[in-house]
Amino acid sequence: MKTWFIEQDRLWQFKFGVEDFLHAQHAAKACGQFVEDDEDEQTDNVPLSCYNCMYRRWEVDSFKCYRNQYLKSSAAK
Amino acid sequence: MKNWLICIDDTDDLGTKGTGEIADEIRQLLELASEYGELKPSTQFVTRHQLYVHPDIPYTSHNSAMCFRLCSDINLDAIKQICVEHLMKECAPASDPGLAILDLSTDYDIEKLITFGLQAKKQVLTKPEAYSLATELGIDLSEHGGTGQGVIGALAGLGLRLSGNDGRVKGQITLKSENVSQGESDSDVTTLTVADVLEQTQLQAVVATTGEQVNSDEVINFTGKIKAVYINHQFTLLVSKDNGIWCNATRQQLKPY
Repeated sequence: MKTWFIEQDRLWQFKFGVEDFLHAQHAAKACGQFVEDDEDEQTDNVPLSCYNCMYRRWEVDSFKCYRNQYLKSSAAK
Repeated sequence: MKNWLICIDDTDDLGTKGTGEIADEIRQLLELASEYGELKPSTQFVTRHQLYVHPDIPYTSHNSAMCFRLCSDINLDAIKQICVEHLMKECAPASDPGLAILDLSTDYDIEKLITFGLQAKKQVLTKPEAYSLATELGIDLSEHGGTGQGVIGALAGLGLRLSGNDGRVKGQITLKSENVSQGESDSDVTTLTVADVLEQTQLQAVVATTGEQVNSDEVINFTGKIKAVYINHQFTLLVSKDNGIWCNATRQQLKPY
């Protein structure tokens, strides 16, 4: 995870911005918990990419991964 | 028959049905409800409008509004009832849905509405600002749960659609050719002329990413999912040249729209 993300406020922020498609693809491949977002919200032509993942929340210069928070809150329900 | 513009925002949450899907369902319900009149109702594509991404703006993951046009003889009350019922049924519990309905036949200040939409792409706006403008322009603006913050995006989405130069078309464009195998594999290639594309779809233009109109006899190679954008007040296929051959735009190329 630390190859592609830095921890910030107990969330993982992508290190490579909003247009580094190769790193986003490598990160998603390594993750194993990728979930495809709504087709209209995908921005990478390669499907398996953090840029296409339901758990990413866009920021101005990057995105944060909400996978852990989502899985925790789902488990608590 | 009257023309209406309808926009929703902030209806989803992680893992729930997307705002685009909910907008498309409302569009279909309104068409269905309008069929009892004497004239055939019609709707246009749903467009997705990207709003400002900023830490002070609460949104799920993308901050985008969804808008569509309806031509129908049903009245505002009936339209609103259908929209609200569906929002209440489908919106995520943690969402803050907003709904904006504009009667396009009224004498509203379009420039003010467009300006609001453009502002919502680059600055933080407030609910009171949205309600104040909606009242001034005679737009039906309402919130349906949570903080109701979605009213800002819903109103902005109307303005952005009216600007004629914003947004991606929701969903994929379907080609009717018998030999089309679109979407099955990114390596499948379908070749059609611009004229064919305009005849087979509801698209109105084919434009290059550099901005020029592509001639009707030009040939386009299609691969992967075929998406469209809303520019120059037209539903438009965006293309670019790859080794001298016109190709449908990639997701990366569509991202700024």
